[in-house]
Amino acid sequence: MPKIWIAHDIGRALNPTLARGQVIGGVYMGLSEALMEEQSFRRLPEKLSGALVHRAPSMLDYKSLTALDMPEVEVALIESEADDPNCPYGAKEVGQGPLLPVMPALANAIYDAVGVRIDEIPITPDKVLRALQQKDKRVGPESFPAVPYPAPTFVLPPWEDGDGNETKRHAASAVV
Amino acid sequence: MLRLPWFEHRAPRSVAEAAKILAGEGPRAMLIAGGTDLLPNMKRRHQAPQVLVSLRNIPALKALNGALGAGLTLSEIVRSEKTPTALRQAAAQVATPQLRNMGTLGGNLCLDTRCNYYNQTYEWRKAIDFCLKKDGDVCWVATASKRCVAVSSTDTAPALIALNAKVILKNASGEREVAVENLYKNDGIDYLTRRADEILTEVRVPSDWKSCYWKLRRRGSFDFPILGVAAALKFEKDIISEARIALGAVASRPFLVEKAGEFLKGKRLTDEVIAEASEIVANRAKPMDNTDMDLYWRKEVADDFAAYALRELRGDDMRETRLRIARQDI
Repeated sequence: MPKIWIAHDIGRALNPTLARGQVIGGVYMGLSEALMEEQSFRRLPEKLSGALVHRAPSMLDYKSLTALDMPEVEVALIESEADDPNCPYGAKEVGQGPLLPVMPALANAIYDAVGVRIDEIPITPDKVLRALQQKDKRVGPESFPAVPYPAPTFVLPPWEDGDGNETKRHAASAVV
Repeated sequence: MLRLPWFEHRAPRSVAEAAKILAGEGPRAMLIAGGTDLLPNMKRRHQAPQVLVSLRNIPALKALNGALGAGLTLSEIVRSEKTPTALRQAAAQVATPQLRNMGTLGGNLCLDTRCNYYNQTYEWRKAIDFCLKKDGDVCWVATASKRCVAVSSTDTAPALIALNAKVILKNASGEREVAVENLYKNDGIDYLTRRADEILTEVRVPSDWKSCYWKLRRRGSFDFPILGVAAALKFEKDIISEARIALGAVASRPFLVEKAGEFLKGKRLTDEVIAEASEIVANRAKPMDNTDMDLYWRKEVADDFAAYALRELRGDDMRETRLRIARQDI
Protein backbone atom coordinates (compact mmCIF):
# COMPACT_ATOMS: atom_id res chain seq x y z
CA MET A 1 0.00 0.00 0.00
CA PRO A 2 2.04 2.99 -1.20
CA LYS A 3 -0.41 5.83 -0.57
CA ILE A 4 -3.94 6.62 0.60
CA TRP A 5 -5.98 9.62 -0.51
CA ILE A 6 -9.00 10.44 1.58
CA ALA A 7 -11.60 13.22 1.67
CA HIS A 8 -13.67 13.84 4.79
CA ASP A 9 -16.83 15.96 5.01
CA ILE A 10 -16.28 17.79 8.26
CA GLY A 11 -18.58 20.81 8.06
CA ARG A 12 -16.09 23.24 9.55
CA ALA A 13 -12.69 22.29 10.95
CA LEU A 14 -12.06 24.33 14.12
CA ASN A 15 -8.53 22.97 14.38
CA PRO A 16 -7.51 21.67 10.93
CA THR A 17 -4.21 20.15 12.14
CA LEU A 18 -5.98 18.16 14.82
CA ALA A 19 -8.75 17.17 12.40
CA ARG A 20 -6.20 15.91 9.86
CA GLY A 21 -4.55 13.91 12.63
CA GLN A 22 -7.91 12.33 13.44
CA VAL A 23 -8.44 11.40 9.79
CA ILE A 24 -4.96 9.86 9.51
CA GLY A 25 -5.58 7.98 12.75
CA GLY A 26 -8.83 6.65 11.30
CA VAL A 27 -7.04 5.56 8.14
CA TYR A 28 -4.46 3.77 10.27
CA MET A 29 -7.15 1.80 12.10
CA GLY A 30 -9.05 1.07 8.91
CA LEU A 31 -5.99 -0.07 7.00
CA SER A 32 -4.82 -2.23 9.88
CA GLU A 33 -8.26 -3.86 9.89
CA ALA A 34 -8.24 -4.20 6.12
CA LEU A 35 -4.80 -5.80 5.91
CA MET A 36 -4.13 -7.68 9.11
CA GLU A 37 -6.32 -7.55 12.17
CA GLU A 38 -8.36 -10.69 12.59
CA GLN A 39 -10.20 -12.40 15.40
CA SER A 40 -9.98 -16.04 14.43
CA PHE A 41 -10.20 -19.18 16.44
CA ARG A 42 -9.31 -22.81 16.21
CA ARG A 43 -10.80 -25.83 17.89
CA LEU A 44 -8.38 -28.15 19.63
CA PRO A 45 -9.01 -31.82 18.76
CA GLU A 46 -12.33 -32.97 20.28
CA LYS A 47 -11.09 -36.13 21.93
CA LEU A 48 -8.22 -34.37 23.68
CA SER A 49 -9.70 -31.04 24.63
CA GLY A 50 -12.32 -29.55 22.33
CA ALA A 51 -11.33 -26.10 23.56
CA LEU A 52 -11.81 -23.10 21.32
CA VAL A 53 -8.66 -21.00 21.34
CA HIS A 54 -7.60 -17.75 19.73
CA ARG A 55 -5.26 -18.07 16.81
CA ALA A 56 -3.65 -14.82 17.92
CA PRO A 57 -3.85 -14.67 21.71
CA SER A 58 -1.18 -11.98 22.22
CA MET A 59 -0.41 -8.56 20.75
CA LEU A 60 2.61 -10.06 18.99
CA ASP A 61 0.40 -12.62 17.22
CA TYR A 62 -2.49 -10.21 16.61
CA LYS A 63 -0.92 -8.08 13.92
CA SER A 64 -1.62 -4.43 13.38
CA LEU A 65 0.35 -2.00 11.22
CA THR A 66 3.67 -0.68 12.48
CA ALA A 67 4.87 2.84 11.65
CA LEU A 68 6.94 1.25 8.88
CA ASP A 69 3.87 -0.29 7.22
CA MET A 70 1.85 2.91 7.37
CA PRO A 71 1.64 4.63 3.96
CA GLU A 72 1.58 8.32 3.20
CA VAL A 73 -1.94 9.73 3.68
CA GLU A 74 -3.20 12.73 1.75
CA VAL A 75 -6.14 14.31 3.57
CA ALA A 76 -8.73 16.57 2.01
CA LEU A 77 -11.01 18.21 4.59
CA ILE A 78 -14.30 19.14 2.91
CA GLU A 79 -15.55 22.23 4.69
CA SER A 80 -19.03 22.38 3.27
CA GLU A 81 -20.64 24.98 5.59
CA ALA A 82 -23.75 22.81 5.53
CA ASP A 83 -24.77 21.81 9.01
CA ASP A 84 -25.87 18.29 9.71
CA PRO A 85 -29.61 18.61 10.54
CA ASN A 86 -29.59 15.41 12.58
CA CYS A 87 -26.82 16.45 14.98
CA PRO A 88 -26.66 18.83 17.92
CA TYR A 89 -25.47 22.29 16.77
CA GLY A 90 -25.30 20.86 13.22
CA ALA A 91 -22.00 19.24 14.09
CA LYS A 92 -20.24 16.68 11.90
CA GLU A 93 -17.74 14.16 13.12
CA VAL A 94 -14.10 13.33 12.67
CA GLY A 95 -14.01 10.39 15.04
CA GLN A 96 -13.83 6.98 13.47
CA GLY A 97 -15.72 7.87 10.31
CA PRO A 98 -12.57 8.14 8.20
CA LEU A 99 -11.74 4.48 8.85
CA LEU A 100 -14.87 3.18 7.11
CA PRO A 101 -13.96 3.87 3.45
CA VAL A 102 -10.49 2.33 3.80
CA MET A 103 -11.54 -1.34 3.54
CA PRO A 104 -13.68 -0.97 0.38
CA ALA A 105 -11.04 1.34 -1.12
CA LEU A 106 -8.39 -1.33 -0.63
CA ALA A 107 -10.65 -4.08 -2.01
CA ASN A 108 -11.42 -1.93 -5.06
CA ALA A 109 -7.76 -1.04 -5.57
CA ILE A 110 -6.93 -4.75 -5.65
CA TYR A 111 -9.76 -5.39 -8.10
CA ASP A 112 -8.48 -2.55 -10.26
CA ALA A 113 -4.92 -3.88 -10.15
CA VAL A 114 -5.37 -7.62 -10.66
CA GLY A 115 -9.08 -8.17 -11.30
CA VAL A 116 -9.98 -10.23 -8.24
CA ARG A 117 -12.64 -9.60 -5.62
CA ILE A 118 -11.75 -10.18 -1.97
CA ASP A 119 -15.06 -9.92 -0.14
CA GLU A 120 -13.78 -10.33 3.39
CA ILE A 121 -11.18 -8.73 5.58
CA PRO A 122 -8.35 -8.96 6.29
CA ILE A 123 -7.23 -8.92 2.68
CA THR A 124 -4.06 -10.98 2.70
CA PRO A 125 -1.62 -12.10 -0.02
CA ASP A 126 -2.78 -15.72 0.25
CA LYS A 127 -6.39 -14.71 -0.46
CA VAL A 128 -5.37 -12.67 -3.51
CA LEU A 129 -3.37 -15.62 -4.84
CA ARG A 130 -6.28 -18.00 -4.15
CA ALA A 131 -8.71 -15.67 -5.93
CA LEU A 132 -6.41 -15.46 -8.96
CA GLN A 133 -6.44 -19.26 -9.18
CA GLN A 134 -10.22 -19.50 -8.86
CA LYS A 135 -12.65 -19.54 -11.76
CA ASP A 136 -14.85 -16.74 -10.40
CA LYS A 137 -11.79 -14.70 -9.29
CA ARG A 138 -13.30 -14.17 -5.90
CA VAL A 139 -12.66 -15.08 -2.27
CA GLY A 140 -15.20 -14.45 0.47
CA PRO A 141 -18.23 -15.87 2.25
CA GLU A 142 -20.80 -17.60 0.01
CA SER A 143 -23.84 -16.21 1.80
CA PHE A 144 -24.86 -13.76 4.48
CA PRO A 145 -24.85 -15.59 7.81
CA ALA A 146 -28.30 -16.42 9.20
CA VAL A 147 -28.61 -14.29 12.32
CA PRO A 148 -31.66 -15.05 14.51
CA TYR A 149 -32.49 -11.41 15.26
CA PRO A 150 -35.25 -10.98 17.87
CA ALA A 151 -38.25 -8.84 16.92
CA PRO A 152 -37.52 -5.18 17.72
CA THR A 153 -39.23 -3.55 20.69
CA PHE A 154 -40.18 0.12 20.83
CA VAL A 155 -40.04 2.13 24.02
CA LEU A 156 -41.03 5.81 23.95
CA PRO A 157 -38.96 8.42 25.81
CA PRO A 158 -40.63 10.17 28.78
CA TRP A 159 -41.26 13.39 26.81
CA GLU A 160 -43.40 11.41 24.40
CA ASP A 161 -45.41 9.91 27.27
CA GLY A 162 -43.32 6.77 27.51
CA ASP A 163 -43.61 4.85 30.78
CA GLY A 164 -40.62 2.54 30.23
CA ASN A 165 -42.78 -0.22 28.75
CA GLU A 166 -43.02 -1.37 25.18
CA THR A 167 -45.41 0.51 22.94
CA LYS A 168 -47.03 -0.51 19.68
CA ARG A 169 -47.76 3.07 18.65
CA HIS A 170 -44.80 3.69 16.38
CA ALA A 171 -44.12 0.13 15.38
CA ALA A 172 -45.94 0.30 12.05
CA SER A 173 -44.03 3.33 10.73
CA ALA A 174 -40.60 2.22 11.98
CA VAL A 175 -38.03 0.93 9.55
CA VAL A 176 -36.82 -2.46 10.68
CA MET B 1 1.31 -7.32 34.56
CA LEU B 2 3.76 -10.13 33.96
CA ARG B 3 6.54 -10.25 36.52
CA LEU B 4 9.94 -11.85 36.36
CA PRO B 5 10.55 -14.73 38.72
CA TRP B 6 13.26 -14.15 41.33
CA PHE B 7 16.79 -14.92 40.21
CA GLU B 8 20.36 -14.34 41.22
CA HIS B 9 22.42 -12.23 38.81
CA ARG B 10 26.10 -12.86 38.14
CA ALA B 11 28.23 -10.56 36.00
CA PRO B 12 31.61 -12.14 35.25
CA ARG B 13 34.36 -10.13 33.51
CA SER B 14 35.81 -12.94 31.40
CA VAL B 15 34.66 -15.97 29.43
CA ALA B 16 36.73 -18.23 31.72
CA GLU B 17 35.01 -16.85 34.80
CA ALA B 18 31.57 -17.21 33.17
CA ALA B 19 32.36 -20.81 32.20
CA LYS B 20 33.42 -21.55 35.78
CA ILE B 21 30.18 -20.16 37.19
CA LEU B 22 28.18 -22.14 34.63
CA ALA B 23 30.04 -25.36 35.51
CA GLY B 24 29.49 -24.75 39.23
CA GLU B 25 25.80 -23.86 39.05
CA GLY B 26 24.81 -26.59 36.59
CA PRO B 27 21.20 -26.62 35.31
CA ARG B 28 20.19 -23.85 37.81
CA ALA B 29 21.93 -21.30 35.61
CA MET B 30 21.29 -19.78 32.20
CA LEU B 31 23.30 -17.34 30.13
CA ILE B 32 21.91 -13.91 29.38
CA ALA B 33 23.29 -11.44 26.83
CA GLY B 34 20.78 -8.90 25.44
CA GLY B 35 17.90 -10.62 27.23
CA THR B 36 15.40 -9.72 24.50
CA ASP B 37 14.32 -13.35 24.12
CA LEU B 38 15.04 -14.74 27.58
CA LEU B 39 13.43 -12.08 29.79
CA PRO B 40 9.98 -12.13 28.10
CA ASN B 41 10.18 -15.92 28.16
CA MET B 42 10.94 -15.84 31.88
CA LYS B 43 7.94 -13.58 32.45
CA ARG B 44 5.78 -16.23 30.80
CA ARG B 45 7.56 -18.93 32.82
CA HIS B 46 9.01 -20.72 29.82
CA GLN B 47 12.30 -20.68 31.62
CA ALA B 48 12.83 -19.92 35.28
CA PRO B 49 16.56 -20.15 35.95
CA GLN B 50 17.64 -19.42 39.52
CA VAL B 51 20.89 -17.90 38.32
CA LEU B 52 21.46 -15.64 35.33
CA VAL B 53 25.04 -15.36 34.14
CA SER B 54 25.35 -12.08 32.25
CA LEU B 55 27.72 -11.89 29.32
CA ARG B 56 27.46 -8.12 28.88
CA ASN B 57 30.58 -7.18 30.83
CA ILE B 58 32.93 -9.46 28.92
CA PRO B 59 34.96 -7.31 26.49
CA ALA B 60 36.24 -10.36 24.54
CA LEU B 61 32.69 -11.07 23.32
CA LYS B 62 32.61 -7.67 21.61
CA ALA B 63 35.59 -8.50 19.38
CA LEU B 64 35.30 -7.42 15.76
CA ASN B 65 38.64 -8.51 14.30
CA GLY B 66 38.18 -11.16 11.63
CA ALA B 67 35.88 -13.22 13.82
CA LEU B 68 32.66 -11.71 15.15
CA GLY B 69 32.21 -11.66 18.92
CA ALA B 70 28.96 -13.31 19.97
CA GLY B 71 28.22 -10.33 22.23
CA LEU B 72 28.07 -7.84 19.37
CA THR B 73 24.58 -6.42 19.11
CA LEU B 74 22.65 -6.96 15.90
CA SER B 75 22.86 -3.20 15.28
CA GLU B 76 26.65 -3.37 15.55
CA ILE B 77 26.67 -6.26 13.08
CA VAL B 78 24.53 -4.24 10.65
CA ARG B 79 26.78 -1.17 10.98
CA SER B 80 30.08 -3.01 10.50
CA GLU B 81 31.38 -2.66 6.97
CA LYS B 82 33.03 -6.08 7.13
CA THR B 83 29.75 -7.92 7.67
CA PRO B 84 28.94 -10.19 4.68
CA THR B 85 25.76 -9.20 2.83
CA ALA B 86 23.56 -12.16 3.86
CA LEU B 87 24.38 -11.65 7.55
CA ARG B 88 23.81 -7.91 7.33
CA GLN B 89 20.47 -8.36 5.57
CA ALA B 90 19.42 -10.98 8.12
CA ALA B 91 20.50 -8.96 11.17
CA ALA B 92 18.88 -5.80 9.78
CA GLN B 93 15.52 -7.56 9.63
CA VAL B 94 15.47 -9.02 13.14
CA ALA B 95 12.63 -7.58 15.25
CA THR B 96 12.76 -3.78 15.75
CA PRO B 97 15.56 -1.18 16.07
CA GLN B 98 15.21 -1.15 19.86
CA LEU B 99 15.52 -4.93 20.08
CA ARG B 100 18.47 -4.97 17.65
CA ASN B 101 20.24 -2.46 19.88
CA MET B 102 19.99 -4.92 22.79
CA GLY B 103 19.88 -8.34 21.12
CA THR B 104 23.18 -9.99 20.25
CA LEU B 105 24.45 -12.22 17.46
CA GLY B 106 25.02 -15.10 19.91
CA GLY B 107 21.56 -14.59 21.36
CA ASN B 108 19.91 -14.69 17.95
CA LEU B 109 21.76 -17.91 17.11
CA CYS B 110 20.59 -19.52 20.36
CA LEU B 111 17.05 -18.09 20.10
CA ASP B 112 14.41 -20.36 21.63
CA THR B 113 12.16 -22.08 19.10
CA ARG B 114 8.70 -20.55 18.81
CA CYS B 115 5.10 -21.74 18.52
CA ASN B 116 1.59 -20.21 18.78
CA TYR B 117 0.80 -22.62 21.61
CA TYR B 118 4.05 -21.99 23.49
CA ASN B 119 4.81 -18.26 23.32
CA GLN B 120 1.84 -17.30 25.48
CA THR B 121 1.38 -16.35 29.09
CA TYR B 122 1.47 -19.00 31.80
CA GLU B 123 -2.28 -18.64 32.41
CA TRP B 124 -3.13 -19.10 28.72
CA ARG B 125 -0.93 -22.17 28.46
CA LYS B 126 -2.42 -23.55 31.66
CA ALA B 127 -5.92 -23.11 30.21
CA ILE B 128 -5.11 -25.48 27.34
CA ASP B 129 -3.33 -27.85 29.73
CA PHE B 130 0.09 -26.74 28.46
CA CYS B 131 1.92 -28.34 25.54
CA LEU B 132 4.70 -30.78 24.79
CA LYS B 133 7.42 -28.12 24.74
CA LYS B 134 6.77 -26.98 28.31
CA ASP B 135 4.82 -28.50 31.22
CA GLY B 136 2.42 -30.62 29.09
CA ASP B 137 2.35 -33.83 27.04
CA VAL B 138 0.42 -32.98 23.87
CA CYS B 139 1.72 -31.14 20.83
CA TRP B 140 -1.32 -29.08 19.82
CA VAL B 141 0.11 -28.43 16.35
CA ALA B 142 0.42 -32.12 15.47
CA THR B 143 -1.31 -34.16 18.15
CA ALA B 144 0.14 -37.43 16.88
CA SER B 145 3.68 -36.05 17.06
CA LYS B 146 6.07 -37.37 19.66
CA ARG B 147 8.41 -34.52 18.78
CA CYS B 148 7.91 -30.84 19.48
CA VAL B 149 7.51 -28.98 16.17
CA ALA B 150 8.19 -25.43 17.44
CA VAL B 151 9.81 -23.30 14.75
CA SER B 152 13.38 -22.12 14.59
CA SER B 153 12.92 -18.36 14.26
CA THR B 154 16.47 -17.08 14.01
CA ASP B 155 17.31 -14.95 10.96
CA THR B 156 21.07 -14.89 11.34
CA ALA B 157 21.48 -18.70 11.47
CA PRO B 158 20.35 -19.47 7.89
CA ALA B 159 22.52 -16.59 6.67
CA LEU B 160 25.54 -17.94 8.54
CA ILE B 161 24.85 -21.51 7.39
CA ALA B 162 24.86 -20.34 3.76
CA LEU B 163 28.09 -18.43 4.43
CA ASN B 164 29.66 -21.63 5.80
CA ALA B 165 30.37 -19.98 9.16
CA LYS B 166 31.63 -21.70 12.31
CA VAL B 167 30.95 -20.92 15.95
CA ILE B 168 33.29 -21.39 18.90
CA LEU B 169 31.81 -23.04 22.00
CA LYS B 170 33.82 -22.71 25.21
CA ASN B 171 33.41 -24.39 28.57
CA ALA B 172 35.56 -24.61 31.70
CA SER B 173 37.69 -27.40 30.23
CA GLY B 174 38.24 -26.20 26.67
CA GLU B 175 36.70 -25.13 23.42
CA ARG B 176 35.44 -26.60 20.15
CA GLU B 177 34.57 -25.30 16.73
CA VAL B 178 31.20 -26.26 15.26
CA ALA B 179 29.81 -25.48 11.81
CA VAL B 180 26.65 -23.37 12.25
CA GLU B 181 24.50 -26.03 10.51
CA ASN B 182 25.65 -28.52 13.15
CA LEU B 183 24.69 -26.23 16.03
CA TYR B 184 21.04 -27.23 15.59
CA LYS B 185 18.84 -30.31 15.99
CA ASN B 186 15.41 -30.72 14.43
CA ASP B 187 13.71 -30.86 17.82
CA GLY B 188 11.64 -27.96 19.12
CA ILE B 189 12.63 -28.66 22.72
CA ASP B 190 16.26 -29.74 22.52
CA TYR B 191 17.10 -27.58 19.52
CA LEU B 192 20.79 -26.85 20.12
CA THR B 193 23.83 -29.13 20.14
CA ARG B 194 25.45 -26.59 22.48
CA ARG B 195 25.95 -28.29 25.84
CA ALA B 196 24.52 -26.57 28.90
CA ASP B 197 27.98 -25.65 30.22
CA GLU B 198 29.17 -24.16 26.93
CA ILE B 199 29.29 -20.49 25.95
CA LEU B 200 28.99 -19.44 22.32
CA THR B 201 31.83 -16.93 22.16
CA GLU B 202 32.49 -16.09 18.54
CA VAL B 203 31.44 -16.63 14.96
CA ARG B 204 33.97 -17.16 12.21
CA VAL B 205 32.59 -16.08 8.86
CA PRO B 206 34.43 -16.58 5.58
CA SER B 207 34.32 -13.41 3.50
CA ASP B 208 34.72 -14.82 0.00
CA TRP B 209 31.06 -15.64 -0.75
CA LYS B 210 28.58 -13.60 -2.69
CA SER B 211 25.48 -13.82 -0.53
CA CYS B 212 22.02 -12.56 0.31
CA TYR B 213 19.08 -13.24 2.64
CA TRP B 214 15.34 -12.98 1.96
CA LYS B 215 12.82 -12.97 4.76
CA LEU B 216 9.07 -13.52 4.63
CA ARG B 217 6.84 -12.07 7.32
CA ARG B 218 3.58 -10.15 7.51
CA ARG B 219 4.96 -6.73 8.39
CA GLY B 220 8.13 -4.84 7.55
CA SER B 221 9.25 -4.77 11.15
CA PHE B 222 8.95 -6.64 14.42
CA ASP B 223 7.76 -10.00 13.11
CA PHE B 224 9.68 -13.24 13.31
CA PRO B 225 10.39 -14.95 9.99
CA ILE B 226 7.86 -17.40 8.57
CA LEU B 227 10.34 -18.24 5.83
CA GLY B 228 13.99 -17.32 5.47
CA VAL B 229 16.10 -18.08 2.41
CA ALA B 230 19.84 -17.48 2.50
CA ALA B 231 22.03 -18.09 -0.54
CA ALA B 232 25.80 -17.90 -0.92
CA LEU B 233 27.65 -18.53 -4.16
CA LYS B 234 31.22 -18.53 -5.46
CA PHE B 235 31.81 -17.87 -9.13
CA GLU B 236 34.57 -18.59 -11.60
CA LYS B 237 33.76 -16.01 -14.25
CA ASP B 238 30.01 -16.65 -14.56
CA ILE B 239 30.12 -20.35 -13.67
CA ILE B 240 29.15 -21.29 -10.13
CA SER B 241 32.03 -23.06 -8.43
CA GLU B 242 30.36 -23.47 -5.04
CA ALA B 243 26.80 -22.93 -3.81
CA ARG B 244 25.14 -23.05 -0.40
CA ILE B 245 21.45 -22.39 0.16
CA ALA B 246 19.91 -22.50 3.62
CA LEU B 247 16.33 -22.32 4.84
CA GLY B 248 15.05 -20.87 8.08
CA ALA B 249 11.69 -20.86 9.90
CA VAL B 250 10.28 -23.93 8.13
CA ALA B 251 11.43 -26.55 10.66
CA SER B 252 12.68 -26.74 14.23
CA ARG B 253 16.14 -25.94 12.90
CA PRO B 254 17.64 -23.88 10.13
CA PHE B 255 19.25 -26.18 7.57
CA LEU B 256 21.37 -26.41 4.46
CA VAL B 257 19.70 -27.65 1.27
CA GLU B 258 22.64 -29.72 0.02
CA LYS B 259 20.85 -30.90 -3.14
CA ALA B 260 20.38 -27.33 -4.37
CA GLY B 261 24.08 -26.61 -3.81
CA GLU B 262 25.10 -29.71 -5.76
CA PHE B 263 22.69 -28.89 -8.56
CA LEU B 264 24.01 -25.33 -8.97
CA LYS B 265 27.68 -26.29 -9.01
CA GLY B 266 29.24 -25.87 -12.46
CA LYS B 267 26.19 -24.10 -13.89
CA ARG B 268 25.38 -20.60 -15.10
CA LEU B 269 22.50 -18.77 -13.43
CA THR B 270 20.07 -18.91 -16.34
CA ASP B 271 16.33 -18.52 -15.73
CA GLU B 272 15.88 -22.29 -16.17
CA VAL B 273 18.64 -23.12 -13.68
CA ILE B 274 17.19 -20.67 -11.16
CA ALA B 275 13.70 -22.16 -11.59
CA GLU B 276 14.94 -25.71 -11.07
CA ALA B 277 17.15 -24.83 -8.10
CA SER B 278 14.27 -22.92 -6.49
CA GLU B 279 12.05 -25.97 -6.90
CA ILE B 280 14.64 -28.13 -5.12
CA VAL B 281 14.84 -25.60 -2.28
CA ALA B 282 11.05 -25.25 -1.96
CA ASN B 283 10.60 -29.02 -1.74
CA ARG B 284 12.46 -28.98 1.55
CA ALA B 285 10.22 -26.29 3.08
CA LYS B 286 7.75 -28.06 5.39
CA PRO B 287 6.11 -25.28 7.39
CA MET B 288 3.69 -26.15 10.21
CA ASP B 289 0.52 -24.34 11.25
CA ASN B 290 2.06 -22.78 14.35
CA THR B 291 3.19 -19.35 13.19
CA ASP B 292 1.65 -16.45 11.31
CA MET B 293 -0.06 -16.50 7.87
CA ASP B 294 -1.69 -19.23 5.82
CA LEU B 295 0.27 -22.46 5.90
CA TYR B 296 -0.25 -23.43 2.24
CA TRP B 297 0.60 -19.98 0.99
CA ARG B 298 3.87 -20.01 2.95
CA LYS B 299 4.74 -23.31 1.27
CA GLU B 300 3.68 -21.98 -2.12
CA VAL B 301 5.93 -18.92 -2.08
CA ALA B 302 9.09 -20.75 -0.96
CA ASP B 303 10.29 -21.24 -4.56
CA ASP B 304 9.64 -17.57 -5.37
CA PHE B 305 11.80 -16.50 -2.46
CA ALA B 306 14.61 -18.87 -3.47
CA ALA B 307 14.40 -17.44 -6.99
CA TYR B 308 14.56 -13.85 -5.67
CA ALA B 309 17.74 -14.75 -3.79
CA LEU B 310 19.40 -16.37 -6.80
CA ARG B 311 18.36 -13.59 -9.15
CA GLU B 312 19.80 -11.02 -6.77
CA LEU B 313 23.11 -12.91 -6.76
CA ARG B 314 23.02 -13.06 -10.57
CA GLY B 315 23.01 -9.29 -10.53
CA ASP B 316 19.35 -8.61 -11.35
CA ASP B 317 18.02 -5.37 -9.94
CA MET B 318 15.81 -6.70 -7.16
CA ARG B 319 15.52 -3.45 -5.24
CA GLU B 320 11.85 -2.91 -6.04
CA THR B 321 10.89 -6.48 -5.08
CA ARG B 322 12.96 -6.23 -1.93
CA LEU B 323 11.38 -2.91 -0.96
CA ARG B 324 7.93 -4.42 -1.50
CA ILE B 325 8.73 -7.40 0.72
CA ALA B 326 11.11 -5.95 3.33
CA ARG B 327 9.43 -2.47 3.27
CA GLN B 328 12.83 -0.89 3.90
CA ASP B 329 16.23 -0.44 2.32
CA ILE B 330 18.57 -3.11 3.60
